[in-house]
Amino acid sequence: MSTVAFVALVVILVPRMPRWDRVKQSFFSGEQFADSFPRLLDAFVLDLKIFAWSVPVILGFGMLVALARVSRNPALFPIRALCVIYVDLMRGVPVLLWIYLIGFGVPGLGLERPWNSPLLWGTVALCLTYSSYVSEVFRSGIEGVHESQRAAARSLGLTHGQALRLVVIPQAVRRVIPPLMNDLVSLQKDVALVSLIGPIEILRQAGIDKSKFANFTPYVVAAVIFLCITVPLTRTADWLLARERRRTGATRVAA
Amino acid sequence: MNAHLSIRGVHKAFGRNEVLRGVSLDVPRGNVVAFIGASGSGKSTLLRCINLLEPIDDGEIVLDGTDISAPGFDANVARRDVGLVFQNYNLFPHMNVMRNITLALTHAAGAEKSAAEASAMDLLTRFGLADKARAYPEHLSGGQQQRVAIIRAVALKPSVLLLDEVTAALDPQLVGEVLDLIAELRTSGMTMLMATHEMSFAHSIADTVCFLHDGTIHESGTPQEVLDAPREERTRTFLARTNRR
Repeated sequence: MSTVAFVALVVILVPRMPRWDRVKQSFFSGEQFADSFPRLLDAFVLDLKIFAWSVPVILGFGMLVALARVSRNPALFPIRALCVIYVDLMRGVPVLLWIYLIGFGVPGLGLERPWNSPLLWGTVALCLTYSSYVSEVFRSGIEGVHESQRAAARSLGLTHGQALRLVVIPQAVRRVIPPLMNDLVSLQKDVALVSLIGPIEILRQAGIDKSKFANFTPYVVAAVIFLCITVPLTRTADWLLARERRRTGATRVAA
Repeated sequence: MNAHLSIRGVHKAFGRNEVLRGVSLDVPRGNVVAFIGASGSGKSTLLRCINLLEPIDDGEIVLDGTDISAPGFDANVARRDVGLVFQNYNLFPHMNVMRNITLALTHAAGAEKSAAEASAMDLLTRFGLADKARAYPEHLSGGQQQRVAIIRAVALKPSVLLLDEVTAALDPQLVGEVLDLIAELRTSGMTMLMATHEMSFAHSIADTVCFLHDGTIHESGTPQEVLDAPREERTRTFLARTNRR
């Protein structure tokens, strides 16, 4: 009920604002929308490609870092320490800054083509930062699996590695799928940050269109295209989370 | 020296807390030993040490003449020969009953999947759980889960089975089915060591009862000797307290 009232208020009031006509012209121009849409959709393919390359790298590397951090072997102490430093560094600085530092910094070393592409190193920066987030998610999942599960596996004669691979990790991953999905939704959006160091993906293409036609509608088009991907992803994450809650028997507290 | 399992002077401390202070015991093949004693007397720790889940600080654990606690002996091989069943079942929740049982058979004992499933099915049928083969642990009662956990350990054909308070987490009406399974295993000649609070069950099934106190075997003997006519004052106090509950 309150939602309906709010929407009604916006629909009635916003067009009465003194400059609404101009805003409408520069943000919601139908012509401009139709003109920019195919071009932006094309550019969005690059975003999807970066996303598709990054996800397996992030999941794999994130899991490796998580495993290194939960290992108890004293011989692995240096690797554990290195992982802690890595995660702290990556998580402590905004993604954008890492994209600038790595994306401009590494090609600046004077590497040969194709190793000097800002697109490549921007994607590397994205992978490095997101791997650190994801490693923390995996780590919490692994630590959430009760010690007795490992004991049961070992008591049956499974090796330490088998216990991890067959018993601990599958349970850990199942637990963290919802938070993992949330990180992937963020990643899907942050892919656009790579545009700031050069590659012409959707956000940059929208900027080019905006300047060319002196109209902000391309940004709205870009937003709509992003929403088409991120909203279903978010809803799926919520649905998985709710299912996980039901499965583990946690009851919902009425608001 | 024809004991099947010999525990010799086993010591185990967690930090400064000395849980086992020299436990020695010879178990002939096919015998059932019941460990009784207050919580914290070291029953569980002793069983976990025999399965090598906890490394011992001193002493030996000799199985069929081999010191399995010796450094350098492959603990993973020893564990397949010494099954351990836990108080809280510890089934793998992401696997169905069949996979719970066959996992170690295929991955640790090197069995073919089909052979492992056939022997698991045999055991499930024998213990009346054949219809649960594809069920997940969360859909089983506590008694069923514990029976599956015992079958999971037995499937590896261990020569010794360790049972750590396997009925302690069960509702009273579910205890019977688990005890029946253990009694059946006894008739098949399985050597078993169990920590238990079920005095009447210990009385009926055990060949030897050991009262653990302060990290040592304070008194041991036949169930009649230890449970009916204890010689030691501490044993008497413990039994008097237990029987009153």
